[in-house]
Amino acid sequence: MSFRVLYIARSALLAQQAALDITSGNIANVNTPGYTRRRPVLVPIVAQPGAQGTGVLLLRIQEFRVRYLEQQLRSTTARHAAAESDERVLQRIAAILGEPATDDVGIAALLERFLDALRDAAYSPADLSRRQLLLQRAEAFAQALNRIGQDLEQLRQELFGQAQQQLDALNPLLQRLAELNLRRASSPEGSETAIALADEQARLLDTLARQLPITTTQDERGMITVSLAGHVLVSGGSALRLELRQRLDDASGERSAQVWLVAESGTPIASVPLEQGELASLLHHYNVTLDGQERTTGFSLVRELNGWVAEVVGRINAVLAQGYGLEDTGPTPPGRALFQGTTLQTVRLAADVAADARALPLSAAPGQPDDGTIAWRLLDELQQPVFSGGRTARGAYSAIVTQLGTLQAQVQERRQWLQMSQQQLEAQRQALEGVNLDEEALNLIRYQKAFEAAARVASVAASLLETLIRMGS
Amino acid sequence: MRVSWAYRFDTAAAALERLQSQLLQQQQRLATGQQLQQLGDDPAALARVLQMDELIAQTQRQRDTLALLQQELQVLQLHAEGLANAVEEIALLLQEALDAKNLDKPSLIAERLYQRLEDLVARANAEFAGHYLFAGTQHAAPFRLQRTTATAENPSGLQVTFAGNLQERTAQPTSGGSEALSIRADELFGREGTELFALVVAAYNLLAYRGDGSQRPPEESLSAQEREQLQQLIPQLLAFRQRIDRVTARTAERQSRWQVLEEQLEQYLTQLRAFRSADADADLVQMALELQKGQTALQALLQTLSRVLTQSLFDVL
Repeated sequence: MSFRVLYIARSALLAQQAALDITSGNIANVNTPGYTRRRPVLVPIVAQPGAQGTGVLLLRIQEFRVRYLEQQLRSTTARHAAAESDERVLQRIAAILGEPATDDVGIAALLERFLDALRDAAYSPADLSRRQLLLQRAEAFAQALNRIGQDLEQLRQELFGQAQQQLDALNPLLQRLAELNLRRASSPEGSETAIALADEQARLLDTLARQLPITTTQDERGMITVSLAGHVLVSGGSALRLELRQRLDDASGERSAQVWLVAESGTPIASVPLEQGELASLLHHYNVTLDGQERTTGFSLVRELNGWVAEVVGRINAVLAQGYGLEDTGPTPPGRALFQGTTLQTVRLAADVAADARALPLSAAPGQPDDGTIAWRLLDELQQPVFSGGRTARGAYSAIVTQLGTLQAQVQERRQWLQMSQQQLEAQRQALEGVNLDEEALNLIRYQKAFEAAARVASVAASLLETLIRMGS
Repeated sequence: MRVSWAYRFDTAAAALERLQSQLLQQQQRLATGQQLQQLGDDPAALARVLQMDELIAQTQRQRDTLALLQQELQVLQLHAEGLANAVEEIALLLQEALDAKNLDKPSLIAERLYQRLEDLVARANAEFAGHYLFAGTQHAAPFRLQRTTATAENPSGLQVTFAGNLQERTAQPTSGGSEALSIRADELFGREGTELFALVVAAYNLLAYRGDGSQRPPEESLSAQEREQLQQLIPQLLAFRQRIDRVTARTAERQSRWQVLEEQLEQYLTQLRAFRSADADADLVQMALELQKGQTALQALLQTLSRVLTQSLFDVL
């Protein structure tokens, strides 16, 4: 009889207690995002090969982290986040347009009201009240275009602000990842510290992946290298900064925003083209959808609407330029226009016409106030399929709205598909990494019973020793 | 498959979110009666709805324009008929002057004829909705009865002047087709729009003045030559009446054509609204059933979750 049994009992008590601690930790973190379950790896203590066992040892803590799945999940997250953001932005745009309008506030409805007033004025061109009504409707139409133009521009600026905010929040994350790399490298593999650091790394990478389409690699010391579009963002203990910069094209007046990699010294290194992630979505809508000067083939709503406004205004003014107002007597038409400005934000009633409804050139000949030929001609022109794409004025606008609707439907579908895909990947990840309470409850009982048994062994050993001591005395 | 604790709740939350979002969409459709709540709900249906909206608005405008123009044509027809009757009454009055029992009353009849002339001018200045019906494209009372300097040909100096023009007011009730809306003054009243009035003035001069230009004393009869001259004026006046009748008939034919067109547009509108409704309006019965289904599914999900999520080994330990 030696004290070995007491040592064995002691090692068992310590190991089971550690296992209980790990299980309790799992239960405590059951709802902690990014937490991966741990398992104690217990091994028998063998003094030398072939010798009798001398107890049990907690060799290390096993973490369940499946890196290829996490990588795939982050890639899906970036695409899903972009789709979610696209959906939100397009919903905002649709709300600004207010189509399909249920009341008389949408552009299409206001255009119809303008055409109704034009018909009335064509019928009674000498009637000042009808001319006044036509001007009011034209002004309401122009103001609605202005409002939409301003709201879309405001949304554009808002998106830039959001992108800026998100980028500002990302730089500390990159810095933190670099710090974690250094700490991780100095932590023993399999230790609780190393696993906790890995959890934090994973959490930060998950956050980063929502915004940017990052790729990661990990070395044997647990240090993570984060890359973005072929550029290394975080490597070892150093991280670059990301900055949002605006570029103004002097020739076209196009203002675009780009993400730049910047060294710690503040020197810009390169601009980074983003294709996925929330930030990519925000910048895409800033640079393309809401940019009136956009020159690529992408769908730019503001450019399309500006083009439509220019065409409508151009055709209205061209027809009216041939007409005479109530007071015009000269042999040639005065060439008056109804609108000035050719974009959403700049279109206005022409000052001379706005100041005096008599000046509205609705007649085809001077001194014939009850002749509404020009007004009828204009009404006909606006209802004929002579606009871009062989459409009517309203048809051309509807085509833009439909294009937006199609885009919204595509984005919705993509978002739903990516959400499903993300949920499946998350299920797979959770199946391997997540904590199951029932499983932990069983483990709790398992380690508790083992602890009790080890305590019992210690008690029996103590009793045996006491017997021996009593025999000796 | 191993199911983690967090995943059970995440999937439950996702399922709840999906069901609640579907329910909300159905509730909105039921509340608004509209199938399309967002642009992206159904782009193909959206395109059709927008196209229908445009066609409906255009057709409504065409129909309303036709209704407006028809009103004017009705009034125009009414006034033209009134003019025809007035011309006929003048012819009858001249016939009355030639009657043997009225031979001594040319002055008296001249006074009545003057009143008829005033009435004729007033009718020729008829207005509707701010337009002078026979002024062409001018916007002022076109006819004016005035006295000018007396001459041998016109001892009374009476003259009806025309200040309108002989342009037609046109309208485009339907795309591309221009329609005359007014009746030109020369169509009704002859050359320069004043021929008819000149005839009446000539008759007045014959009745109220002698051949030498002096005013006819009361109860002085017409000479045989004057009676002959007066006799010749009557068929000319009746020719004007026929002329006005022809124009009236043409107007009535135009009105009838527009009425048929208006009815066709009304039918077309009904069809367009039905087409639009098929895409844009929610099928309320279908929606109510969907809502009921959604509610049942939600209830079942909540009950399942309340049973499954609350059970763990810890509860029975």
